[in-house]
Amino acid sequence: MKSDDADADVEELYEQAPCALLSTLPGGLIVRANQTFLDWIGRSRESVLGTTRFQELLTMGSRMYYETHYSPLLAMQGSVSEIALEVRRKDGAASPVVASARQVRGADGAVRVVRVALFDSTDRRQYERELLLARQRAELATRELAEADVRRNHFIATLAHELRSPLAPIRSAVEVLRRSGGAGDTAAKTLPIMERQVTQIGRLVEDLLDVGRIGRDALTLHRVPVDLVSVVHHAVETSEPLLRDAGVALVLRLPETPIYVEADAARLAQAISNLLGNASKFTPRDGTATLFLERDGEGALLRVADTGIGIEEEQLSRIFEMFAQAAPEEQRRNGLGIGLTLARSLVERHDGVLTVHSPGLGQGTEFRIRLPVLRETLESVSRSFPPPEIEAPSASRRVLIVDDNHDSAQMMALLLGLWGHETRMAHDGLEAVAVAESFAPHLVLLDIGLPRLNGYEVAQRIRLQGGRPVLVALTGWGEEEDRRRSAAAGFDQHLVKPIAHDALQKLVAGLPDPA
Amino acid sequence: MTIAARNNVRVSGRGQRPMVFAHGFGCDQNMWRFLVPLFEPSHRVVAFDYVGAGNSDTAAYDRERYGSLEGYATDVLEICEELDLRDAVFVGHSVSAMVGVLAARRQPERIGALVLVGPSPRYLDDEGYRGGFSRQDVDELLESLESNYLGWSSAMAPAIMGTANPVELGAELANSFCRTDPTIAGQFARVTFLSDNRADLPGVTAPTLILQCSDDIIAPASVGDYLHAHIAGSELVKLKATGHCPHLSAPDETAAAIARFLRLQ
Repeated sequence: MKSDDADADVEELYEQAPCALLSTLPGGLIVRANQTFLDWIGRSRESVLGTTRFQELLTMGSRMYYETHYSPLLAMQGSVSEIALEVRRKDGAASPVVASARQVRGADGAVRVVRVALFDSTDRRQYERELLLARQRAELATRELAEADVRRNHFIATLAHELRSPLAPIRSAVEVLRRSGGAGDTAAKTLPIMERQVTQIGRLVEDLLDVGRIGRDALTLHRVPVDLVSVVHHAVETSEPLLRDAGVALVLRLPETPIYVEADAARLAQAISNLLGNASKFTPRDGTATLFLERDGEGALLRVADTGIGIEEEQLSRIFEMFAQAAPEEQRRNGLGIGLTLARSLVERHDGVLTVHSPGLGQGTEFRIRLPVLRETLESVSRSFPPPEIEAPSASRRVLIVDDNHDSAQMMALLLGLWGHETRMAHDGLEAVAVAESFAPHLVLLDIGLPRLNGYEVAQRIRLQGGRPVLVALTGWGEEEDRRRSAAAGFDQHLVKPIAHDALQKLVAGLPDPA
Repeated sequence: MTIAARNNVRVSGRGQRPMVFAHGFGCDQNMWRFLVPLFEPSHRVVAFDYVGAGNSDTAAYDRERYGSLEGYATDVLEICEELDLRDAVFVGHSVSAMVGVLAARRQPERIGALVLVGPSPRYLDDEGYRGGFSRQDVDELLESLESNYLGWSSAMAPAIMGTANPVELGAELANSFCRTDPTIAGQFARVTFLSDNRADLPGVTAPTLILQCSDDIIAPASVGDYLHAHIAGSELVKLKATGHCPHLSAPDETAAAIARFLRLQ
């Protein structure tokens, strides 16, 4: 290569380098700049060289940083490396650059010139910004997960406590019965306790399942026109024992005339009894809970006010959140804190609003439910809670009980035996099919999760045996999907454990007459 | 932790009268490296790093304490107490000039003279006052600093990775002087550029030298004049040196002006 060519090559490298290159005097005055830099700032060579200082081409924020950091650093170190700055482009936009610079000294040791290289860092800054955001998001998510984890652990601890409390009296009652053999009035005294406690456990489990259903949007309401007053009565019936046990008096202020709403009576009653249950938990003994129901303009207003411990203002907004009550250990009260979550969801599913009001700690709490009412008074409003029908004693039937939980099967057999029916038990699927063949039952109560052959398969095989027993699935799984599967397998009915005894009685009584 | 360790205090010199050198925003005590040797023969020289700068103890940073310049003045006075300095010459650069004003007002027996290098009692323009910056200018600096858009590009990695101290990355950094914790630098900039110490000026009783550079964008000539007018008996020297750091760009001229001021006292 000839030396002219080499010079031209170096010149081209300098002018068209993929970075901006400039030389300045110690004070920043630009004495040389390459084409790349001039293109960035949109200025001609003549207008820059000898007239403009490097720092004047920076944004104001960058210039302040240049004077207070970059420039002293360069003076001290003789060089700076990769300092982020912003250069003002020709279109006025601020362009991020990374600057490195080095002083060049003359023979006398004084700084003669400063060489500066600027690298465009637009893309890099974009990535950095994204990374910073990603980090912030990750931190937030981690924090939320940790909080959820704490809530969940508290929830499980509370759940264990809640389940243990009713179990303790049941265990004691069992011990009493075992020692006394039911003599004297021990049975009469212990049985109501056991019944109440078992109901309590059942309610707890129901609430848990409902919250799960609402979470999955799988709760189906059967809304029909009903009288809100009768719904309230039903809720009160459910909650009265709780209030009585807690020593809280209940005052009812109900209207003379019916208020008709379109509701799933059982679900709406559940919401109201959750509020009453809440009042029973948070009102000290000898307090009062008052339930008001009235027309309020176009709607109905139901209020449950107590003389209880009240709620701090900052807690008011959180009280309907799942597990809110289960949050800090020291503040934990009886209860899972799902009752209110559930109540609000149920009210909302009825196009209503549930709100909470409290003047503060120690000053009581009031919950308000507003619901839209039906305009015309309908003749055919269904009686929301028909009184239990009087059962005629049923004829003796053959009942096959299939459950791998021996105790469950045994208790069911005892109960049905008491009612005068003939029973057999089986504890796995194959045994169930065999016993069905020889016993020819009128009714089969069949668990689904069974060893050796599951309940669906047992049902299919029994259907092939020729007899026409009524097949009832008796299971812990009560979702729509479970019901569909059992129907497809040939079951006549699907009942969810624990089955209420009057429902069982009705079921047996409703069997077709024995041939 | 002693105050000396907290602020990385360095004492040198063979003279009697103490001189305390206080660096400004964006730097550390290394910025006095050309000036200090010139005063070591005649003075007892004390240099230090503010908490968050240089080799100070970053763990001692307290947002509340350093939320105003008073907190920094307290640090200066604590250093004076620990070393039992009396009648010290306080040389403060940039924002440190006002730190010195505050400290001298509080304990005049400790701070006997003030040398203010590129000082400004208020950076923002105000009615009837020209500080040189609009609120927008300062906001641009603060936002850029707080988003890590200015400064060492190497500071970005710890910001992303969440490592507090870039040194923990194990890399030998090319910029070894003026290390600042990015978060602390952000707050220091806020405290610096939004401060207003004009009302503190009339209370200064110590002999005061104002060193005003030519063409200093951080502290324009009008600001030097303002200070001169409001600090009774102050002396204003306009240096030929340009920029904001005459002690780095023209150490001889700067030292000569200071020495003359001290001789005249």
